[in-house]
Amino acid sequence: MAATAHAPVFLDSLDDPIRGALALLSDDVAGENALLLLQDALSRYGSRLGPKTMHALARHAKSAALAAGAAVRAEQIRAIGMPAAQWYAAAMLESVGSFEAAAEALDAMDDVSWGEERALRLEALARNRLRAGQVARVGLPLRYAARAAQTRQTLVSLDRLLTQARQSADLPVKARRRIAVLGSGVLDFWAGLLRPALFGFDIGCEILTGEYDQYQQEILDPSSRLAKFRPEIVVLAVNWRSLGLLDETADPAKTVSNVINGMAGLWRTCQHRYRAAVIQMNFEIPEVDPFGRLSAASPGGRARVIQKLNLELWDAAQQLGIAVLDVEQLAAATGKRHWSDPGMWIAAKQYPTTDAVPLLTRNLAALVRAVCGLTSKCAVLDLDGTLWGGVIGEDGLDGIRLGGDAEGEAYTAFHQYLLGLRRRGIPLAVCSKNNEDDARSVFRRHPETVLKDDDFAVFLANWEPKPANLRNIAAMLNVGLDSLVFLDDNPVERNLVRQELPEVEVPELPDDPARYAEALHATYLFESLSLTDEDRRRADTYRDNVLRTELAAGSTNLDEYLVSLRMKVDLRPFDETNLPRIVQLINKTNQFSVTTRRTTASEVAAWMQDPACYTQFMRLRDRFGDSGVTGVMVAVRDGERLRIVNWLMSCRVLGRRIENLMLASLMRHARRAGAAAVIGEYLPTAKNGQTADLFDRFGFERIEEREDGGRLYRAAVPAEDEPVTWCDVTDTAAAG
Amino acid sequence: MTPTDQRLQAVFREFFDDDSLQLRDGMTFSDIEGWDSLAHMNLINALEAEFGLKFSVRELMRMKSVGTIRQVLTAKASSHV
Repeated sequence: MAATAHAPVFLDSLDDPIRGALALLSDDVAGENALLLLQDALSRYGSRLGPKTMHALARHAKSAALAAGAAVRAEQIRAIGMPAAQWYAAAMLESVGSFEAAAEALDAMDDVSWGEERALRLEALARNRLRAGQVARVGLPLRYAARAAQTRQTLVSLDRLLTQARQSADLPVKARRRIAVLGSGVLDFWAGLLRPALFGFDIGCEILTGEYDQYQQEILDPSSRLAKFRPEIVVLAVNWRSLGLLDETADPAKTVSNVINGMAGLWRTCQHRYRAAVIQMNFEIPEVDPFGRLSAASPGGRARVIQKLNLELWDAAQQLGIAVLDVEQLAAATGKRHWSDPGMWIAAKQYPTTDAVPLLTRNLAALVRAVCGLTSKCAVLDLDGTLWGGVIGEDGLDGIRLGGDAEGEAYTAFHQYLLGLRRRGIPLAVCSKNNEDDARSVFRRHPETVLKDDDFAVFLANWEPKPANLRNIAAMLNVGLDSLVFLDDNPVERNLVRQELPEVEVPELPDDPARYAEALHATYLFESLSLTDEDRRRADTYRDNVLRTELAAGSTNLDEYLVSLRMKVDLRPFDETNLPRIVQLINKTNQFSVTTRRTTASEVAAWMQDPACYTQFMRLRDRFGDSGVTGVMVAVRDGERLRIVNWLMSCRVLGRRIENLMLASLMRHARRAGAAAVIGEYLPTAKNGQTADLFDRFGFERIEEREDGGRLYRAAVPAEDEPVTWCDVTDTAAAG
Repeated sequence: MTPTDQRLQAVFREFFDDDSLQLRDGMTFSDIEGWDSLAHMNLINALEAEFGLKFSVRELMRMKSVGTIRQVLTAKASSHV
């Protein structure tokens, strides 16, 4: 069709006028009229830009770039300035090999949205930087793109780009894992996409994908591919169809326990033979059922049996120390008719649908992140526009929107969600540009506020740049910057923090405060493996620690300060009640940890039974509160010697000489058990530098130094205990 | 080339990462590097995404070459839009 010089009026009535204009151009990709029409359409409609439009524009730009004078034309289009024009120009520039200019155009492009569009822009940015040889600047856009991607197609492109980038650059990650994905149905169409999904959380991985319906053989056969692969994490992706449940089951209780026992056997093999962590998917309750809704009413109905099965799976998983991926919830969140497609199951054994892949891989990646001990630890909040509508410094207590009307209630609803986070152990902090008195007045005096002044562990309202305040918050809570999640409604502040502190997680927030909680939830940054009493107390502990720091600032020496804390320390052998917390502590402590050996619940249970094993956990209370179980030590008798296998403490209780007490208990035990010496071991990791000279400080002698930085130490058992003057200690861990 | 053919070719080029790919009706799995049974299902998914439609089991069974894919798509496009 011949192109008209200017975009015709009917384009106005189309949902997607830019794609309409591209259809009008059809074959004429580079003619003068085509260019005029395109420029007109881009400047008139170029502020809206959906993923389909972006694909169509990029494809068109690619053909247009084949004509002479493409580079000049690209610059003309780029000058229009609208996001769609920048995008089109970047695609042309890429096609003619001007990767640097393309990257600049993409970098300058306004971030039009925070979903798939954002992913496409960042993917193109990473790709052009890679082609331009700017390898050091590829990792960040790639990571954010992986987090934003909403389609399988984009994850596939990101996976490809990731592989290419790895060939020319070392993309640093916080952890690496070998992950086996086993189960029923064809898994290949999504399992590999865990790579980009995990990279989005800064985790590298090697993936082994199981054969169709072979998961039992693969796990049980000691000479299988799986055994050679030596998985560190096994994902069991078994879907409801392979359970073979009848529409109505005669003996539902037995059916459920058979399934659980079968699964538990596989978990134990994974835990014992491979020392692997296990992630088990639970089961979707299918919508289509011959019994209709009564499937949940009849005692043996499939829907009811699966509900029971899912509940018992949670219990069994907690007991045996594995993690459950809540597929039933993901299916419901997606909409079950979009989660699975009967045609694709019948024709290709594909489950779930292609559209479900991003949600599935992102949730699984978040669980892997939790298994790696990388769960985020603190929510840092901006105030104006984030916790209420308006500006407190200008609008005053009566002027801000908080409660009262719909906008205000959206903010109080977000307060409720944050308060819930705090109750499950995520401390809250404030980082806001405000006068402190103005800011605090809301939490002290506003009648509608849900969050109160003392719900915050740290409160920094001042006029310093936010990155500086975030550094302070991390230091005051004694956590890494990478443990912080920063929430701010202002995109300029978000980008500033991302640039200055790429370690800090900065989720995109939508315009509508009613959707803040949903947006924060969908980052899955606070996904953790279990909840213990210590978790529930933790937000208080962090706040109390800041108070302790203030007390310390007023004391003239450490002894005086420690005495003033009035600490009570309990050292006890491992017991059933505290087992989940002990396992959790062993598997997530990174900083004060001499060996950082991770273990499973069953191994810890085995230590408890073993008379050659010395186990100790430490519980700490002081005048500010109860820190709970925050230290663990395990040692094994080896002839005349006691060898320390694990020794770790939560970073919340450091700097209070508790380590002296823990070691003193071990020495007491050694003496009473007749051991001649204690052997210590240090294995360096990226994070445990603070324990590098721990044994040296306690006067241990170095007896072996390895090339990897690992060291063995030895110390004689002292004839008597040193007196403890700065706190009350009860020790039942040492043999009586 | 009809607009449908153009889009089809674009999907193949992007999917197999080969900008010089020229589709012919006679092409089957053995004619394009990387076109195996697993890639085929992913290709089908990419086609469904591009054209905004779902193939029936009957259609899936037919779609084993460029020619049959084109036939199914053309028939579907004319009944669809």
